[in-house]
Amino acid sequence: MPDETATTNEVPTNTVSRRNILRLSAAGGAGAALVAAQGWAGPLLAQKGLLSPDGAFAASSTALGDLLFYIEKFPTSPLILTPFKDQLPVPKALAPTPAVGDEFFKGYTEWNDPPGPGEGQQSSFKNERHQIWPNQIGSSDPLVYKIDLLLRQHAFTTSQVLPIDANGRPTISFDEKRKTYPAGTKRTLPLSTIYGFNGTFPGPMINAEYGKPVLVRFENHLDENPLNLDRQDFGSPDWSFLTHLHNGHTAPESDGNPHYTMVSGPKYEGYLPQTFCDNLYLNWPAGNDDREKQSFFWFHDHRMDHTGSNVYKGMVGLYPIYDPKNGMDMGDERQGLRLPGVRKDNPDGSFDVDYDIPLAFYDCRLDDGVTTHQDIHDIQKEFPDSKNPAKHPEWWGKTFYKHFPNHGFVGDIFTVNGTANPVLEVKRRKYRFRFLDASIARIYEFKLMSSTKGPKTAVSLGYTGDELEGQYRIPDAQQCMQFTQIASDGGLLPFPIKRDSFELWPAKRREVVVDFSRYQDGTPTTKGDVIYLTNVMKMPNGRMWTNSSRFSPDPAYKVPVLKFVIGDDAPDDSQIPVKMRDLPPLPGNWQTMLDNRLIFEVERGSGGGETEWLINGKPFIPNTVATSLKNRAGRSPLAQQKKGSYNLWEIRNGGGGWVHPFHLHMEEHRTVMRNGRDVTRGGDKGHPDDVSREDLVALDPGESVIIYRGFRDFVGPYVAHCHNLAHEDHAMMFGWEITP
Amino acid sequence: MTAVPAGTASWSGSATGALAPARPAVPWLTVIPLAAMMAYADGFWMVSLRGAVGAIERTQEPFASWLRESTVLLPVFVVAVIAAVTLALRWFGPVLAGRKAFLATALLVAAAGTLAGTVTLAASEAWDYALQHDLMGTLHHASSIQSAEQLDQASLGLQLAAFGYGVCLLVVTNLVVTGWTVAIRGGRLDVSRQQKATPGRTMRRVRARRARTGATDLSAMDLRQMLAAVALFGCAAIHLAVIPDHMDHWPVASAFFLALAMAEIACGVLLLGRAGLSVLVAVAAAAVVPLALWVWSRTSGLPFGPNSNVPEPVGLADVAAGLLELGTLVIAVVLLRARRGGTVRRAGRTATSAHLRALAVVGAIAVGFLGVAGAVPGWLGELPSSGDVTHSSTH
Repeated sequence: MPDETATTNEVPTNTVSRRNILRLSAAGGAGAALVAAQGWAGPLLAQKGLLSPDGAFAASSTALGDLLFYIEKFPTSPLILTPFKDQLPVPKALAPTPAVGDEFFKGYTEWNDPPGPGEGQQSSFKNERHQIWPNQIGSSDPLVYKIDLLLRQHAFTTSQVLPIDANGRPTISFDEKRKTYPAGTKRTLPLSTIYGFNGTFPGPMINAEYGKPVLVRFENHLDENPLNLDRQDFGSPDWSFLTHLHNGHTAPESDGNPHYTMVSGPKYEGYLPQTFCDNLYLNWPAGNDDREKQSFFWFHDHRMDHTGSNVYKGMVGLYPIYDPKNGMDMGDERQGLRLPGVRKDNPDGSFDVDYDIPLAFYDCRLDDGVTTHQDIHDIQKEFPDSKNPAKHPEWWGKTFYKHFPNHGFVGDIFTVNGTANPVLEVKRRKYRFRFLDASIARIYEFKLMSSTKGPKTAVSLGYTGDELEGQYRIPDAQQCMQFTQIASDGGLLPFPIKRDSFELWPAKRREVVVDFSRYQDGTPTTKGDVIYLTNVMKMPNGRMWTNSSRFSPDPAYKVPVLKFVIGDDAPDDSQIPVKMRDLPPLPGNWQTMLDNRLIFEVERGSGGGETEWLINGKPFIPNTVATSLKNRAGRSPLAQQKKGSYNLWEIRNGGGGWVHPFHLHMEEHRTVMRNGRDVTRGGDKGHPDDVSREDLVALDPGESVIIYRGFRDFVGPYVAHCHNLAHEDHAMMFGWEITP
Repeated sequence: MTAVPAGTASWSGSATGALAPARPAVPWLTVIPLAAMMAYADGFWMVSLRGAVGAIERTQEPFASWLRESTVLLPVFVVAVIAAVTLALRWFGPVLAGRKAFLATALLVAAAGTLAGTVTLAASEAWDYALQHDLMGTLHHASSIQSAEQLDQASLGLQLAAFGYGVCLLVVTNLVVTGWTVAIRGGRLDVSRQQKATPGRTMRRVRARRARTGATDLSAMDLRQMLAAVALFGCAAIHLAVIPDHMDHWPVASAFFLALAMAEIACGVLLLGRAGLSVLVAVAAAAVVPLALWVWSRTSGLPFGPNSNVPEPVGLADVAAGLLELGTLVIAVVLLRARRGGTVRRAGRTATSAHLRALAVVGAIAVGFLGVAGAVPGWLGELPSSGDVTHSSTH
């Protein structure tokens, strides 16, 4: 290179040529890199909402984190060999506890600490009372239920399984004594250990009605281990629980939120073994406004720092709520809106509704015995017996959980009502399905599809790695029916919406009517026809989807989740109504409230250790009320609202290529703006049910949503948090309160 | 390796103090592009690593952070590259003869850039850890099983790992960036250039400056005076930058910093001209007064003001200003003593004189840049704090 570097004595004839070659090479390389970045990275970044200068840095940071710091390995669950043979469990209503018992059971009035409105009667800590007892709102005394938290077992399938590795190849397996079975050996899964409401997964279903309050005594018996079960290495390590009715309009002491429990009641993250709390659900709409009535709650654990692991370990229960006023929605298709449902009142005071079926979706991973259990909790010695980081062949085939995953947690086996790949024989008539996503992080997009050739294993189709999630695909499936959506989180919609597919985010509820008497083209169904409820959203990790109908659809990703087999004809008195429940009105001047709105930005940012997810730059501090970011009025108000007031809150996704299902306790809200656009009359195709009431803001990457919400009837501390439970457990939550 | 290699005699400096006809000068067209490329490339990794494992307070608006911090750190990288080419000049002479010399120089440049990047990365990681350490304190709640120490250790481990990976990234990046920059310049990697000034014009300037300053050794006096002037301008910039921050809680301090900055600018301008006794005394005073106040305020605390007798925390801006003031004071004292004794050190002119002068001056500029950046909240200095309050609900 001496000729090129000399500043004097240059020889132009030779150097010009070589210099130009160098210059052209350098410029060409840079140009090629730019073109490649535009062609490859551009669309990828755009899909993740990162096509911006800040987004490029976020993508780079994420890639570095994934590559260097948060290397994670998850097991590949064994392949279920005979799917769609197990019947879908259709839950029956839990019976209330009578006031006076018999020779076998005590009535609730005979309990040592009977429930009631008095001081100290709200929990075993005897330091709280119910803020509003039903008689204060003109209701009768509550029906009383007792639900025990129990350590039990659960089977996700009765099918034999074939242990496979990430490449889909048969692999070795183990038993509880660590005995190794050679690759190719078909096995029966061991039962997974659960912490369950009354020891089942999903837990009991309470069929509730507006105007009939319910009091549930949740009593902790998780310290009792009559079956001598191995508790493994997840679930609240101190066996505490905290039950939240999502999203009941309840007082803080019955809400099951850690902002309350850390300052009142147990003054702890949850309720420890041998303690109880009485959660009082007034079944009374916010502000006593019928337009605020909802239709489907669920109750789940909310123990601070371990919500995800407790929910994953089984703490899920169902709580459909009917509205008997004028027979509008009381589970009787001959009355009111005539939504599908045939009600049967039981002698014990409960009632069941045929053709009205809750579907709780939950994805899990089963241990392969060779994946190392390792995360931040190892150094905290929460599970000293597991001696992590370690492999656990003795847990082969049981549920595997990583508490602190970088990407959130998704499973590769999709279950409905606790059963993997179930089948349901349906009558040729209309059904009402109440969809609930009880997963840690997975978002689903469902379609109703038919197939000539039926499901094939993803392995047999040549898929490996993350593409094995869901285990089966139906390559020739075509959409054959539509859903008629009738309700969202906040209850019945103003009018039904016909949908080809719909997304179901964690904790969200969607209710649909499906008419199994005919296909969408009008052709009648016949007995024996098969329809698959199919997930078409590919979500390889808890960060966000890679493919869905809204973003880069993958026509090959059609994972059957639930098989419907058309059965006999049955009477059908139901109708799909034209009009249902009006929305509570927005004030005409809501836009004047924009300047003073409260702003909360959910962000990813390492605080060190497991403090990975923050809001407005702060982790959840349980005894504090959060502060808004500075609003347009130049103020940073506290998250305190006067009882009876209304306000606009803005929830921003701080970016980084993550989606966040952000849940706000206490009252349903209504989305008024999305990404700066007024959506009060609809308009956002990605979120068609923005024109409904919800309790969970679905935040796409980089999105900002402004919601209108009320703060009625109760005072005290509540929380708002991301319902990606891995995020919630790692500080993406904030405290707020209602003041008198 | 101080001898000028054979074959470069025409570039060697004369020891007489007179300007040589072909005295090697700093090759700015080489230095600036290389420094800029490395500053912005290394800055990209620094900000990206911060996004992965850094403190949340510093991860917002990464693009703006990258632009700002890379620009602020540019003089540091210029210093590094000048140091590298100075070393190459001493080792290989003003003209890189041979592939080995060329490659060694390129590696030196990349190594110097990596060193600069490593130092800034270490400072950034340390700051992240300090912020995370504070956060752990607020996060910890008494009944939790998790201990603050465990979380703290995890944070530290993460930052150390990030630093290790970051250094590897910087090495590779700077090698690539150096190679690409050299390639885009047609393979040109200069360690020096010829002075462009003609002898006639230069001599006229020499005579004019000598007349202004009265100095017998122009180059030595020029460097010291120039250094002191640059340091004073840097101090003034830092003091001007802290005025808004003080305005809210102590306007008197803002007025003081304004007056001080004006005095420093005036002294700097005078220093560039004829530096007589009174000017040098004024320069010394402009340096020693704020320096003494700074030491006082950071040790026992000033006896007046809103937080009297409370020591103020040490920050990047005040340390930078203190360093510049200390340098100015030392130079002023040396110049005063030289003037009083009537003896002037005759600086030997070598092939690297211009490079060393540039190193000193750009170094002072770098300190000033860092100081100004440290004085602006949210840049490299303090971050805005959140206003969470303790829950006080009763029900």
